[in-house]
Amino acid sequence: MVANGDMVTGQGRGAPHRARGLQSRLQRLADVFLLLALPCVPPPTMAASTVDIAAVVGFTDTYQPGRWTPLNVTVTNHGGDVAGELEVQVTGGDELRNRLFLTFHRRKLELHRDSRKTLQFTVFLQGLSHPLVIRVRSGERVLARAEIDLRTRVAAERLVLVLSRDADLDYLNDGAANGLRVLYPHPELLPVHWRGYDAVAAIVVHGISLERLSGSQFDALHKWIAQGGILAVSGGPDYALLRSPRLSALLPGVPLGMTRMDGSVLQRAFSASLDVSRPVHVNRLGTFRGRARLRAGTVPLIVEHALGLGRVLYLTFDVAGYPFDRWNGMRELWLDSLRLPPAPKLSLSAPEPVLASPLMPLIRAQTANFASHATVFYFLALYLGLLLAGYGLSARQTRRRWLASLWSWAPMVLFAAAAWLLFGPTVFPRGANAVAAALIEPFPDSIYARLALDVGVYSNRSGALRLEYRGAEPVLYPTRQAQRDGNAENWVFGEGPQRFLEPLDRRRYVLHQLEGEDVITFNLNASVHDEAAGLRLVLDNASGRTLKDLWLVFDGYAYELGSIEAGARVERGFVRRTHGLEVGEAPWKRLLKPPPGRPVQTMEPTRILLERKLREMRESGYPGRGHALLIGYTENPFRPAGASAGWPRQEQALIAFRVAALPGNAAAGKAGKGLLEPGNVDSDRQSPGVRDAAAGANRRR
Amino acid sequence: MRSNPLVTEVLVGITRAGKALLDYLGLLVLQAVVLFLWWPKVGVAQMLESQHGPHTLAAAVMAAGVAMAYFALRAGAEEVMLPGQHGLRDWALATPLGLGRVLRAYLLGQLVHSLYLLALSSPLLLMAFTVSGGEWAALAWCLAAALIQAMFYRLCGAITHLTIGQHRGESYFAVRAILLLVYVPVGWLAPLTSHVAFTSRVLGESAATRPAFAAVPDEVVFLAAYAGLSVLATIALHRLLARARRGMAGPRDGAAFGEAVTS
Repeated sequence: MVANGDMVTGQGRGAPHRARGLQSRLQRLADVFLLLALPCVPPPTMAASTVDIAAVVGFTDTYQPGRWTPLNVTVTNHGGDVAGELEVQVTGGDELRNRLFLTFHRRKLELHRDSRKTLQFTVFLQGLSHPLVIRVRSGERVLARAEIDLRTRVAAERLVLVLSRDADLDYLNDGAANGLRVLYPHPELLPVHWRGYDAVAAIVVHGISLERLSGSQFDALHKWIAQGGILAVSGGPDYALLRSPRLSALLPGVPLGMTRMDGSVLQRAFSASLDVSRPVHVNRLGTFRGRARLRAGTVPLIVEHALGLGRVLYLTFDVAGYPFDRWNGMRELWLDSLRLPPAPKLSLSAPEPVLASPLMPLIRAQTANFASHATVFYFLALYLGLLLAGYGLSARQTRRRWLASLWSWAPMVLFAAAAWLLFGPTVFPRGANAVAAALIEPFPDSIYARLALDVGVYSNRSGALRLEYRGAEPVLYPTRQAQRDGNAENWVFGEGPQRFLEPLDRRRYVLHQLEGEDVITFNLNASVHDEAAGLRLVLDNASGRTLKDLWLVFDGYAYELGSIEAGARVERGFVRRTHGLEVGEAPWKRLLKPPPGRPVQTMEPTRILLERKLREMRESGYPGRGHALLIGYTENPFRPAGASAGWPRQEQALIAFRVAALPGNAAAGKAGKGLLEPGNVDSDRQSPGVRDAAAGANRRR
Repeated sequence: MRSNPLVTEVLVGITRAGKALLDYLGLLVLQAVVLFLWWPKVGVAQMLESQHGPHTLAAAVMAAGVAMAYFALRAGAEEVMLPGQHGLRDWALATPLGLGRVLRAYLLGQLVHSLYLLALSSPLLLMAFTVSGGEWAALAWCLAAALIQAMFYRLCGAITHLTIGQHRGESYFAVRAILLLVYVPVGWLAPLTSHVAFTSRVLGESAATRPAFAAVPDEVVFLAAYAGLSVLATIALHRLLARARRGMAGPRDGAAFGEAVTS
């Protein structure tokens, strides 16, 4: 028994040992598997370290505070595939009074393993004390974060961009107030939105082709010129570059070849100080649009052509070649040719008074309102009366018990349904609304127009308010009024193929407002001829939109044009006494009638839009002496799209086209197109000194 | 549900006219007045200018909550009874039904009755809902809170009735004192247990700005608090009924009624 017992004991001791050994082996095996499995599941911190962010602010990492500027962000992915969002956080507002607000610019980002992507944003950098914060997110997880210190990247001067391989225009640098700073950005990093050129005074193109730019970059450049930018293109031996489609579309004329100029001729044209010891070749032009600002004999040397509100200069000689690369007079020649206007006031912090927003009157005029108190009273009275009647019926102990039971339930069921129908979504839609008021100002001699926008979103229920839109790509910012009052909100702006805007405040019954500006394609050409018999208007509506309730205002008289269909070309004569409606300087704003089917209150936003314009143009008047104004309505180019396409919206778009009236028959048959003239017409043969005086006089005017 | 005689009484009672319905109609008039007073007096544009939406729904829900609580308290104290309805004491003392079953059916009957009262208020609530911009989920939370609060007050009323008995004057003042004391000071001192504060939080403008993680606890805390209080009140009621039953030698009062029910 003992032996047996020992044996049993022995077995009893050995079995746990074996079991423990097996258990420890299994544990070790499990540890090995765990160690092998660990690299397969990288922790978030490891994943984050595989994404790098690099950013270039403005042009060659230089920007001007208080201006819109391009921001190129390059994201490099060293790890696995990334699908998420790239977010740029910009701090704006009044730092002294601690009234700051944030704007978040977001773009979708998909990056495969070991790949890199550069995305461009157009941001408004108001100050420099708060860094730009850039994040790469995947859902709620931040994969990478970078802070860009703005203090080291500031330029106070206006910028001159030189797109060239070898030109040196550093002599234009001027550190004085309102001075210039020359930068040489890489063409691939130029803005994709015209507003990105906000700080730029002029662009010089030398020896490169604009075909290198992407479609959006070229559009941005074209729009920037149309809204008032200055482009100067230098000629040179490689004139084939200037015959490329994009440049030839912008230039006043296309070079046909080279022509040889003697030094003495050039000295007469430029200055005796120009050191020319041998002949120089310049580009030879045939016919060109615009006018020659400088000639040497019959050869145009500087030709200028207006493009919308901007100008394109063509310098037919090589500005960086012999003998101009060593001439001291180049700075003066540039400044004289460019005629840079004074720097505009900072876009958002201009101290001029701001009129009330047109959005509220638009909402007031077009939004369905709550049911009146009388309706509510009658409804409640009827319901309670019916319940009381039901009570009376039941109290009478009628034999029809089923009728009493019916009366106990029927009123509430009926009135619940009626309440929903009478006060519910059919008459008072629940959810998000979009409001947009737009002022479209076509540029003369251009296919573009300036779009000034007031956009608002609100909802009568709480929650996210994400408005997706299309039709325009404006830069958007909290209203100037809100910024001045210090109550600007925080916003998210989605860029990329599907643009959106979203206030971060999710309260209901709060109107979230933005202002925006854009340059849109709106090809409207008009010429007004002030003839002895009266006025003659030639209007070519190639805008693709119908113009409604159009009026022509000129010299204290208004002429009704009615609707002009898309694609229509109209030529009309007006006799002042027969067709004209005498109006004063200001009351013409009352001419506009509300669009068909709209109440009279809809005029209020229009009045505000025009009043704003009037204040903006207070020095020259609006439309101003010698100018006619075409005013009317059209459809708003800014439209909700995508998930927001079904949002109820209140909108209004006003066209205001300011046209210089031409005396007599000066431009018969012309409908806003630039003149195509032979090279020897309208030349400016003055010497640089005389030109300076003339330019000064022009500026004073 | 219909097999339970207490619930059947309620279902039959609400189809008949009686003092209870007339009393609640009075409360419904009060709710209608609240709705009318809180109906937006200005247009949408002015609301947007002031950046404050209408508080119509919150006011209507608060009014419905108070009305249901007051009515439940009175019903619990047997001040108002549905036509043909018997008191809780009768059910407990005059029938051989188990107290647990009686109490379960009593609570279920109260729930059915509260739902009926809610249905009576539904047109008013829907009207307020359409203009106030609330969410369905938030409204559902508020109504659930009103229901469970009414349950608690019903039990309080029943306890009052069992402790004070048939002394009408004392019962009358006790019921109103409970409503005033519990509704106002408790709500003031512990806002998490106040239906008014709860509705204001869930349907008010601050609802949109509350952090997401705080959204659930608020609602759950209220419901849990009143559910807990109701459980405690039910236990107290059970003990009172048990003591009353023990004090009875047999079903003396209402013996006929007991026989009728058990048969």
